[in-house]
Amino acid sequence: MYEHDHSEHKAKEYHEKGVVPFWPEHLLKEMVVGLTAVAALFVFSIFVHPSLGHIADPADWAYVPAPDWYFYWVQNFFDVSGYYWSELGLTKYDWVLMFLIPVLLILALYLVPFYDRSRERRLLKRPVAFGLMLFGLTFLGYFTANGIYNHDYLVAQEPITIFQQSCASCHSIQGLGGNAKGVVAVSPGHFVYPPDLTHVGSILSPAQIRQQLVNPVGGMPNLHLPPAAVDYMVNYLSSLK
Amino acid sequence: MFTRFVRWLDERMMVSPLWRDIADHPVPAHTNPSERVSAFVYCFGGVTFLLIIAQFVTGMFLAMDYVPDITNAYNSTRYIMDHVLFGKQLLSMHNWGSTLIIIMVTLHMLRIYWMGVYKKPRELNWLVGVTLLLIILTFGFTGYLLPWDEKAYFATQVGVSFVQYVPFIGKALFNIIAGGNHIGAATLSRFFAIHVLFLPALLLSFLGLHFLMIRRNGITGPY
Repeated sequence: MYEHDHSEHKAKEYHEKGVVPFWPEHLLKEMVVGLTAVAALFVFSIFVHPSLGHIADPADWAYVPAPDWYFYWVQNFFDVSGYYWSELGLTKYDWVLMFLIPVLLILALYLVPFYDRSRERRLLKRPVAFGLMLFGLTFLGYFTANGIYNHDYLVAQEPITIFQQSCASCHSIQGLGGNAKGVVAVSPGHFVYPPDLTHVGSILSPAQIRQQLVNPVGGMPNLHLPPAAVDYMVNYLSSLK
Repeated sequence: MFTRFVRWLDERMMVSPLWRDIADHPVPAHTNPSERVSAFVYCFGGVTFLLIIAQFVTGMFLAMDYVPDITNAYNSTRYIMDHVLFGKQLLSMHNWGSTLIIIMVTLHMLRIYWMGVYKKPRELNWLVGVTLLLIILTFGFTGYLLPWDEKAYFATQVGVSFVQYVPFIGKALFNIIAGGNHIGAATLSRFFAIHVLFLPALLLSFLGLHFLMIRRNGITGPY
């Protein structure tokens, strides 16, 4: 009897306040949305299976690394910014780019409630917060898209292909490629012979090979290879002993 | 019958007040998708929690057949896919579940942000929420290595190499995380332990905090 009166009373009170009890009214209705999501996951998993590649081979330097899709922006942000960072000659301060900036970004995310302190909650009346959100979303979107594009590009351009497209018109490796005349004119009357790269790994250190690829000397044109491709070519060429 | 059982239990454990507290706590009607369809935006957090439970279940079953060492990690993953009853389905759900959780967490966070929910008095719960986001991303990162295929190995190599840039302790930190100076057998067993033991404990603790704080502060009203 008491139980019955009690719940009647409560129901009236809740109704007047515009609230519902957590159980069962709220939870069961929210469960409809939740279970729809789980059911969608279940059905999707039946039809689309994740792929399992070859077993890991640490010696496979030609493999183009691919992060999980939600980390593409991290990898691409550091690829792109790292390129300009070293262009600016700041390699000595790599820790600023690779440690300080990420830590500051994470801190900025943590501290949002402490710099957006006004009582205003509507997004359009919080211009700074709104701007930061748009900036963040654009940042994530741009580097994710760029990362995926860059990855596909690199997969298509494995080092051998890069060599055939960018180097083989002048250089040869074990008799493949190379300029039939063997000469490049630097100035009237002066010629440079593009060296045979069959044993380049024994002659130049990886750092020297990188230097030559990025800032060529001795008549070789600048190939403007993307940073990841330079990494591949350095690995590849320094393995030619 | 049920009433008698509850009375029997209450005489020993006094569970009724706890249950009444959970069941009767008022939730604003405007967060309920049956009141207004647009209220589904309030469900992203709850859906994430439900998906986390699904990850726990599928993960437990996967751990029955998975072996975290460098020769058998790959082979046992293949075995799960090809020979275990519903193994392919389990693996698939665990894999896509992580993707769906990332999407839901992002939507949840965006909702909190655009509605300005993190404002006083809820600042502390935002801190817990960002920590939960980082924990979930670490779940994704450590789980990615476990199948031990090329994709897994090289992505982990790139990811772990970032810690080398931490000033002063970078090298030491790399050795701690990778279990040596390269990604290898020790890394795999470490990542397995982190993925199935450390992170779930952390996740549950912070989820507990997250929910306690929601109870304390209530759900934000309309503007």
